[in-house]
Amino acid sequence: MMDRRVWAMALALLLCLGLLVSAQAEEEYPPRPQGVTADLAAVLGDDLTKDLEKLSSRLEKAVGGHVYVLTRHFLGGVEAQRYADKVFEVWALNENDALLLLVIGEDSYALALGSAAKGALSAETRTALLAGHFRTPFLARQYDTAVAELAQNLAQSLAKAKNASLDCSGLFGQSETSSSAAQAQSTPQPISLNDFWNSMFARDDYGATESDNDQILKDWQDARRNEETRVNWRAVIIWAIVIYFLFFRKKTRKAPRRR
Amino acid sequence: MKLRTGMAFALMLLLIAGSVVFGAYKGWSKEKAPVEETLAGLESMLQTRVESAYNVLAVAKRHVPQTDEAYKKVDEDRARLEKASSTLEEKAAANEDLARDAAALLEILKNTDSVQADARDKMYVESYLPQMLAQSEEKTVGAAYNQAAAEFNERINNSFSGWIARLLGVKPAQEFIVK
Repeated sequence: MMDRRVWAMALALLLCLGLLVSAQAEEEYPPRPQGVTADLAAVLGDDLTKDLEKLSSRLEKAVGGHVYVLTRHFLGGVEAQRYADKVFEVWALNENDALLLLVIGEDSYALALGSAAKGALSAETRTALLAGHFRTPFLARQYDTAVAELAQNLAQSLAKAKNASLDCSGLFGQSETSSSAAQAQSTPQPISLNDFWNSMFARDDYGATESDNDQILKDWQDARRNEETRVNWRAVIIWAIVIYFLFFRKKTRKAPRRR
Repeated sequence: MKLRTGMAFALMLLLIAGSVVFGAYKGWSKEKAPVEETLAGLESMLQTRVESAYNVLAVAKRHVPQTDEAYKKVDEDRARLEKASSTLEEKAAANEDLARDAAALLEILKNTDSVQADARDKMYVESYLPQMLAQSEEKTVGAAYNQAAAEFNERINNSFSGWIARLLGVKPAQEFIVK
């Protein structure tokens, strides 16, 4: 009796794990960008994006890591840190990489780090970096300034922790001095329908267009028609066998045997 | 001889009845499987509705108290829609209520001074969020499952083999409609 209970509990646990795994697998995230910036909310300036690329290549030479930036309008109820960690995993970023997530419509953000970067920067250092160099301009909606300040200080902290030198000269100059440029980014810019969907919903597998929907329905109707045809043929064969056994098989049995 | 013929005839009738019953059960069960497969598409669309509600609430809480009646209604609709144990009919009702209550909340927000003074939230309230709600609603109503389930039910409810299948426990597909 006890054994049965244990087996039943183990089975239930396995089922729950299976459901969890399948639920996780169903979630989809934005694809890894070509560079280091995925500005789905369209709030970052071009100059900032270029400087982030330059900073990233310098950081790669210094410590082998990159600073990635992802912006979205909303996460649809998903917690920002959980989402950032998951994107870090899905993008297969390396142990020295950092990912900064900005959720514009929710006024929230999160920083996800690879294992080596986490080892190099304590939780206190990370909190201090975000509080000292990011939070205030982010909440003031000066997104370029917020990202520029954090990216520079984060990259320098990572380099310092690994006793490497990182040259940030010539980077982010415009975003630090021009407040009008930063102010211009406080309101998201008009974006395409596809980007709109990607930036509004946490998962990106909802973009099933009407034609996709029609295709699903057509596939279902085709499958149903094929099934009906198969059933009809099967019925004809069954009927033929039944009739053969009932009316014809009997006569062949009665044929006289030769000795 | 007559007895054997009679037995053969009875056996034939039995076989016919058996094959009809078995065929009906198996056929309708098989036909229902792909309908249920399209359910995943509807569930995915419903998730966009839940997320839409979260997004509306994220903006709303910056401008109205969370005890506000309109805010609470949207939050309740969201919870009903998100509840895994709800039937499709319950989810359809929650979805319909969400469309109405979210539109009402956005209307309230639109007339709030703080929204009017905030370029970003004004854009969310007047453009992004209504567009998101409308698109997710359109996709939910147009999901392949709804048509597949309606067609399946129409057929199973209006055929002799469907009647037999229902007697044997093949249930009509749940429809995503408010009755």
